[in-house]
Amino acid sequence: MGARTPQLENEIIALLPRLRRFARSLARDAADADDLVQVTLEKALNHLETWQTGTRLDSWMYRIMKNAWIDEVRARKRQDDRFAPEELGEHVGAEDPGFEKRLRAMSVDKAMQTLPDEQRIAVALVLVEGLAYKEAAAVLDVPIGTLTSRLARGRTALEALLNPAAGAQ
Amino acid sequence: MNWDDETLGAFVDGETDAATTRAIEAALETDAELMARFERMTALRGTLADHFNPVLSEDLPDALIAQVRSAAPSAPRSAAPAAREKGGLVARLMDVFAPNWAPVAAALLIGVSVGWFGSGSGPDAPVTLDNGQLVAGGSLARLLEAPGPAQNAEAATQLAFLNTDGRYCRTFTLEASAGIACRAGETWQVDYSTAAGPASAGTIRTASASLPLDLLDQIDAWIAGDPLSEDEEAEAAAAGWQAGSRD
Repeated sequence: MGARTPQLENEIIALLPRLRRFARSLARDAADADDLVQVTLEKALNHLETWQTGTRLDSWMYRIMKNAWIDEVRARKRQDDRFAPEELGEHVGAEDPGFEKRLRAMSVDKAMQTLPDEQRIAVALVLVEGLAYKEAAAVLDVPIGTLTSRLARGRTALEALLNPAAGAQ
Repeated sequence: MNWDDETLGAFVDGETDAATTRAIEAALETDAELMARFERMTALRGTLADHFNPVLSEDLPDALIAQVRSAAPSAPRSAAPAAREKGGLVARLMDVFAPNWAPVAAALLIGVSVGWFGSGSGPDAPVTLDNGQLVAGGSLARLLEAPGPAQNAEAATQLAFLNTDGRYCRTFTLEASAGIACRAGETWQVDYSTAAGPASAGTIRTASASLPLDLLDQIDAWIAGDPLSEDEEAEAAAAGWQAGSRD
């Protein structure tokens, strides 16, 4: 059980750069990302009793952030879908002449936002945050096989979005 | 040997066992196509690192540090409780019955449902008081019955979830308030309400949905599992939001 101590506060502050990076890879812009960090901190600080001393603080906080993000995204995306059902690349046809050009120029942020959330989170935890598969699977509460499959699909999609000319097929 | 994407990815991530690692290393010597895939995967890791790692060396926002260092342990930093006093459903109902709850008690005594919100009262009001319980009515009740997110002029629904009592609950926003309504028989009880809207502190900015932080915390406290997917919501709505009988 975690008690709030200056030492624990120091550990949390030491994690802030990584939490901000994780948030940046989930959220669509830097302002949203720091809002997500703020929400995560509030939840973590209010529920320190659910953190088991001796377990990894970073995994615990990644998990809180992931959950906060899923809550947020579900609420938001479904409303967005209602008003803009043809968002993003999925519905853009190949007959659109600017399509490939835009794909080629697609920024990393935009490409990440194009991924389904479960793939984006897997990519963020492993490829950006550098978590081992076992740790990432624990944060997500899924079997390792599920993690590796989301990761592989996310990778393939990102490669196609960021470098369509390479012809990953 | 044809290495699939998952295995090759695991190799790139340093997650393959020793035998697989040796086999892939050997194959890379001779298999140009495999080498090209390997290089693409490595390049992707590099692209992501180049893009996101600079965040690590940015100065930390003072607000985040202050939040961690805040003097009052476990005290909610958010202004939500204060805002609730001013703008929450309950508070606004109380305003209507100001200066005290006596008229409410009177209404209960005579078994009358009273309703209020914004434009009117009566049986079609979005929130009514029924036997001491705040219950969704009118247009809000109709929104809550429908699956998926929905919206009308004054109210909107967002998430649905099963609570730890095995009842379906849904989040809604209603004018400047947000709340959680849980299924009780054929009605939706408003079990939680708070202030919503752009002014509420600690809210994630979003395009169209602003669920206040304290409401999200309440979901965390009540939820069993994950929020319902759209398919699950459709099924639940088709079943009248009656969860399977549980003991």
